Amino acid sequence: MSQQSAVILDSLTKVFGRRRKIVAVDNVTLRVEAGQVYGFLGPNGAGKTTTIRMMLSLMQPTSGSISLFGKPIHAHHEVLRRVGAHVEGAAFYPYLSGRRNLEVIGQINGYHDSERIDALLRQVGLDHRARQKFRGYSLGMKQRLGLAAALMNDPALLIMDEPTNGLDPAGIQEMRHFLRELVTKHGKTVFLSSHLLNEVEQMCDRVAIINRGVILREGEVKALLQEKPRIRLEAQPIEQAAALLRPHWPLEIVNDHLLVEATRGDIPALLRTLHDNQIDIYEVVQQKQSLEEFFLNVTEGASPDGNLTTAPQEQGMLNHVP
Amino acid sequence: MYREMFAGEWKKIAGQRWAALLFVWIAPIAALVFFGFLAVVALLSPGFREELADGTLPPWNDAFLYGWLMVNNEFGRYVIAAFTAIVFAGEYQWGTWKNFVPHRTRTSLLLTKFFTVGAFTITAWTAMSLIVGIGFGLMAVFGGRSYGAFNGEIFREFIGTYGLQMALTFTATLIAACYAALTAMFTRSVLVSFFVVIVLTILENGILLPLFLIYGFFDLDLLWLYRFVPTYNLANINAWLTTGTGFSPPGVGDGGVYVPPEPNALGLSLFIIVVWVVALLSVTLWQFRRQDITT
Repeated sequence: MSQQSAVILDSLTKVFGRRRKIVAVDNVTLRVEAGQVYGFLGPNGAGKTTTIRMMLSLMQPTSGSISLFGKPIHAHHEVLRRVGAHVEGAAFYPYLSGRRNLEVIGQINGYHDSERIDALLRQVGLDHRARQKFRGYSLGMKQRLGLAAALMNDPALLIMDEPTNGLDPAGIQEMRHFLRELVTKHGKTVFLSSHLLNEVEQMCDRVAIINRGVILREGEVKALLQEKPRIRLEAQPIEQAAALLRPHWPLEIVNDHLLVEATRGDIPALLRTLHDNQIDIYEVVQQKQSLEEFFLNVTEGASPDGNLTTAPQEQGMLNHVP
Repeated sequence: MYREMFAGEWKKIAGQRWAALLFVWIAPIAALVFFGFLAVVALLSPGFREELADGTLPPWNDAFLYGWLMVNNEFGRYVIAAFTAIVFAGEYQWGTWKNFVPHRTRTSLLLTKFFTVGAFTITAWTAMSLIVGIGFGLMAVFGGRSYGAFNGEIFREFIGTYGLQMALTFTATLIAACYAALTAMFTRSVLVSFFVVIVLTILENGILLPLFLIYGFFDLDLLWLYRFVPTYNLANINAWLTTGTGFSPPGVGDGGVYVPPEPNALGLSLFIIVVWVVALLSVTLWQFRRQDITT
């Protein structure tokens, strides 16, 4: 089993500070099978980047273990050579060109290949700006160079931390297709940390939701979204309809509609109840829960300041998302 | 493997053109401009050529060493310290360590960086010594004079002294690089590292001043401590191997305020320098290996 797992985190914990201890990651256990796109979701400060940094050996865990492709990284550092990563924004030498930056990374890491650098620059759409100094790049260009750097060693596991930050709508879509293709066509594994829930919903096979360093939920995206099915119902008079249904199904009135927590199988009984009591029914829609709603439900009240800081659509941060 | 790493590090260091120009290449460039100017004047002015014929010119084996004498002194160490601070702290300030740490052991990353910074400095000062040596040679040609005797014995002696100056420069660079790396690990800022490393180097060079003050105010004799700092021991090794006598800093020795028994023996100075280098490298590597890369 562990042979097939690209990532196994076992009781991973990171505590910062000696006097005032801050538990950034608390007993995180998860498994990512090879050939998946795995989403790692959480509000700002939830522990996503700290977890990723530990996975890359940039940070030492306080306790717990990390295995990549069945090998614990503390004993088999070489397994990290099968990993490509883009962590917390692209970081390069501002005084070197994009191409020169990739050359330097390739040479120092032991996988320098000029032809591959050219191919990657073309692939991420930077070939015509490759000779320009990195300090002159836009945020989107920096992200693209970060992706190229992460792919230089043709990694079996790609760890991407907020890869679409700064990309325009077309860029985000391109990135999504690109990452998905890496999995479907090239058999790679992608571990994706993001707070763009729409993006994660479209791309990921499984997700883990982390908050305050603790994994709150983990599972297949489809299964998680089917956990709380709802029926949207337009009926009149609405108050009377609500009174009739409330004893049987939890519900709430939203604008002119009823949102009833019920499955598809409940629809006939629900309609019979309303029809038998002379309630007029105008519309019945089975509503799928979005990942955003699921995320908000899971993390609600759990963020340190009481605000759901990662509901980007509500904060106007999602204007790029197509 | 290490050749590729070295090439990558070299590109990073050489790519910082302003820092490299200001702290490393400025001396060879200044020497080139200076001797270029003198050559033009010599070409155009018969009077200057006569002065060259009558004046004092060093023999070739001294002239080629002048460049090294400039770097193997207190001022040279400030320059090296400033440059290494920029090279090491830059990795933290730009957050670039994370591009390398997953793929390489931290020990090999840091050792390659140390070696490359040393090699970069040596290259620049070798260029400087060649320019000065060739420059004085041109002056000798313009003055129509001999450029000193040349035979097997003089050449062998020259090569030995030249190698010694290179080794001293490399060691001084290594020590400065350790200061710089350690400072960078804690401050993570180019500017702060730059100033901290300069202050550390000033303190090390000027250690006698606070020791004199302690001696004067508290009658506490800690003046012997200067005999254990790298700067003194590097100068002492240089003095033993070039003049055959040890080195005493100003204010110490005959006629000075404080008279130590005698300069450190060559073997003791070599031992102290080895201890400094090994200890600083060990502490730097230990700190880097246990450090969380958070930028």
